[in-house]
Amino acid sequence: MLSFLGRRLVRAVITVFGVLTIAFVIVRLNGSPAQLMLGPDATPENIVAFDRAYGFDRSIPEQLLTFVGNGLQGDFGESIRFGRPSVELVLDQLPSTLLLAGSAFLFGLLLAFVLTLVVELYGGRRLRNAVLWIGALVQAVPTFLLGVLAILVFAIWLKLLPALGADGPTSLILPAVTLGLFEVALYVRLFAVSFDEQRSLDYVRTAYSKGQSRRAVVLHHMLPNAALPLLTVAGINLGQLIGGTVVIETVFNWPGAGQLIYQAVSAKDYPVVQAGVVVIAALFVLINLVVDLLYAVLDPRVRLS
Amino acid sequence: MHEAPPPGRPVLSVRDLVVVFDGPHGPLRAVDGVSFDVWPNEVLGIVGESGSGKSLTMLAVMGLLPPGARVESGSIEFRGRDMVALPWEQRRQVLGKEIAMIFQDPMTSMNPVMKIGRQLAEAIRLHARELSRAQVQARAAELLALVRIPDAQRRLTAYPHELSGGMRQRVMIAMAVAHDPALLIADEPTTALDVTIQAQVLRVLRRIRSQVGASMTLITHDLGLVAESADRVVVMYGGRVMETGTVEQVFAAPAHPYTAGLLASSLRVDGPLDEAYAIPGTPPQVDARPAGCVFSPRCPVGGHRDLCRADKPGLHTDEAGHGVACHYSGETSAWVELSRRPSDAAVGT
Amino acid sequence: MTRLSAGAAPGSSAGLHDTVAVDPSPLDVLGVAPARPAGRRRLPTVSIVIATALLCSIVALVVLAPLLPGYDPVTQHLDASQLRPLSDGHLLGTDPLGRDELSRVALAGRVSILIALAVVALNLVIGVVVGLTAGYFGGRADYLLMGLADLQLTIPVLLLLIAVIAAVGPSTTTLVVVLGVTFWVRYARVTRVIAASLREREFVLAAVTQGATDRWIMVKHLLPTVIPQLIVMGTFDIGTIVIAEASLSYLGLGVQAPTPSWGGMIAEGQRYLQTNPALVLVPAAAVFALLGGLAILGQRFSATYGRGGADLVTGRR
Repeated sequence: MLSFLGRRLVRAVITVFGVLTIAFVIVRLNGSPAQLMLGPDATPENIVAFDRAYGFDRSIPEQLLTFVGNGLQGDFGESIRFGRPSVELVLDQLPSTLLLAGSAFLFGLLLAFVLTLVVELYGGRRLRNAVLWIGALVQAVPTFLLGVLAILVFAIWLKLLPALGADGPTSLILPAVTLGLFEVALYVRLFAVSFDEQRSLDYVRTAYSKGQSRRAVVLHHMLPNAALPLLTVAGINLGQLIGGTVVIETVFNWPGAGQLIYQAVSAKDYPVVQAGVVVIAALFVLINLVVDLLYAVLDPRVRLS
Repeated sequence: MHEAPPPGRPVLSVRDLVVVFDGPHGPLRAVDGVSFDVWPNEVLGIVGESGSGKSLTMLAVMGLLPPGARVESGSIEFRGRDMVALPWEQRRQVLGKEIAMIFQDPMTSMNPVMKIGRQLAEAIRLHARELSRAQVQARAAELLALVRIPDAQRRLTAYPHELSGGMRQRVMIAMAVAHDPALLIADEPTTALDVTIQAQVLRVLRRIRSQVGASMTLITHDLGLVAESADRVVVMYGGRVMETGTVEQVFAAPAHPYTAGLLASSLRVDGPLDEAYAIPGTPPQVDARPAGCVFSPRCPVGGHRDLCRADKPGLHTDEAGHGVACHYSGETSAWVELSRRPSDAAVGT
Repeated sequence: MTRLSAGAAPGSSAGLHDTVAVDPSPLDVLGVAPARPAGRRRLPTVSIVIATALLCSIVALVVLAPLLPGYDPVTQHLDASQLRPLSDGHLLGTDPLGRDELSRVALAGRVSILIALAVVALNLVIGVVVGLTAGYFGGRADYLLMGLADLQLTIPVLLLLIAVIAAVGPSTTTLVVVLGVTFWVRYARVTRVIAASLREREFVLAAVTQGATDRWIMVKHLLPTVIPQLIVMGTFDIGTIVIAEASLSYLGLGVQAPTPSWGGMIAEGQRYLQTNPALVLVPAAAVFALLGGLAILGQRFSATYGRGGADLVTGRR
């Protein structure tokens, strides 16, 4: 178990360094960071001054080392637009993004869980297929389109819910459900695959051969075995979800870290972009580590090996 | 006990059982009209190659056919109950209590994320709801001791993968005999184990069976196992019963060419290697079985004759209980004599 | 002699349960097994018909619309802005700048599909090269390449895409290249598994003993086995890429004006959502038709393809 966690820890460290490097490279992709940040109107004198001020005149390895060293301490420089430490800006907006991503994740996972159990326990082939078909169709629609249509139907036509912004708990509903629908579809299909794999395994037959009821076989035998492999996927997915709220935040004008980063991209405020990318990636790494730890606790085969 | 069927009623009576599953071009008969009885306190060996339908037959008895397979016709009577028509809710009162099954691979047959103790307790509690938690625990430990697993208390908190293959199969046996079943179905119980452990596990299984007084069907491809463990034997091939009788009858004087071929190929391990006999060809796939006798394409006795190719022979049983499904069973002994002569030993090899 | 009978022997007890009404095996409660004999299911199902109709309508839109007399996705007519659908000369109306919506949706679809094809092709090439290298050579190359692939799962991909595209400068080329070097991981995985299993097979071993070089073996023997499977994967991946492209275009980082894109049209239409929802609904319908059609085919395919059967035949494995 220790070697398992050790390997995962090494991977986490490599990931953090990888992301820091990518963040470093992004700014230098088209040659001059000064040109990128100051825009086409910058004079050569401006650029030289800028390069000196931000250390862009030193050698690349030197710059990388400084950047990684500062980055590890949470220092990505000040936002060009706001003149505040960019990490602070990101951390200020992060809770709002976590609220959105977290509620969508929970909504999706719980609904998928309930749907799967209902289908397994009471449903037949027809209900199962219906659920899978709906899932496939929901997954085929881009979430931004789902969001725009949700605004049209629930905010404009039915006037039930607020369309934009984050005023009070009701404004969370539309973006969270839109994002969550995709999650439901994903997990319903994953659960279905996982249960299908279990169904034909020998231990299920053994349980029936003892005279066990279908309900108990599904709940006590198949469910733990079917849910375990989903844990890893759920971890990866939650990470991508937090990084992926940017689109839905834009659709609903939700003031989150995604919006912040997206706007920083448009405004060429690169310290904020770098801080945002690294902070969210670090969160991602943390989530995956927690999942690995959970896995190690829940699966006796990992725990004891 | 090696004699004609004992008096009384059979524990299990299978008649004309047909199990089909859906193939790409319509249903395929994996088990094609199988009949046999299991009498009280006897061990019935069911012998056949893989694909002969032996496991499907017993899974049909349990009502645990794999998806896609179903009983199409025939009857399965267990202690006076019609097992084919028995709804699942009633069937499960029988499973684990009166009929219990031991599967081939003890690793995959146990829930990998559930402790041994819980899996054993489940088997106990299902048909003894009145037992307290402590009583269930005590019974579990008692069962583990019965199958000679040392340090029972510690094993109860172990997971399947922490036990050796032999230990796991002992636990499976313990689960199966939790309620002193009338019929034990053992499906290749030692095939997945190391050769060195097979004998031990088999000893445990035999001892427990006679202690409990259960009848047992021992599904295997190993003729030696049948010879040493079974009272009677059913030889299956291509979904049909080829020959049935007491172990003495079948082994000493095989009446079906298939049985004779099996014996010739397996019992001569002590002879020179170049004399070893092998039945020519391979068993037909379920969807490519010949119209007449299923064995005819490989049969050294009657395979070339029109009758064998056109007509499926029925199972004819004599007064002593020795049954054979062959149009020319009278000629088998002559073939056996012939094939034993070294000069003719090269047949088919 | 007792005749215990077998099979079709007359006068036996075979008639007792000729049509047995049996409780299904509890192993099959969800009906994983085909309900009908597979042989009878040859007619195209409703879902296939719907999927084909949807995809055909998109292909017709993309291919035939430019042939129509009023086709013009570019020219602005500010005096005829935001005409409603079914207006004179503009079947689907006009956008805020008075450009013909039908023409724009058609051109956007064409651009979208071409981008998706290019991206999938790029993904396929990279995936095959990486997968073959990792699978065939194994060892350190395998470890490194698959480690790289794993890394992609643990970083916020969309966020990085946005940052990179913005830094390089958004354009169709940027979009194709960036998406092309991002989504190859699945192809590499599949290729690697196949290559690793094929490495042990006879025909590759035979080639080795006859002195074939590594590259020759890969090109001549492994590639033909891998490609068909990847093409199938790629077909269903077109949907994924169209979603990614549309999302980026919605954010203004994909296809750039004046070239129309479904994502861009929806983003613009959202501003007029209250007054003229047709501006969103028209491109939305096109997106639904293409992605829905692909999804139905994919679901149908996995339902048919994923159904086990052979291993259940004998009952035992």
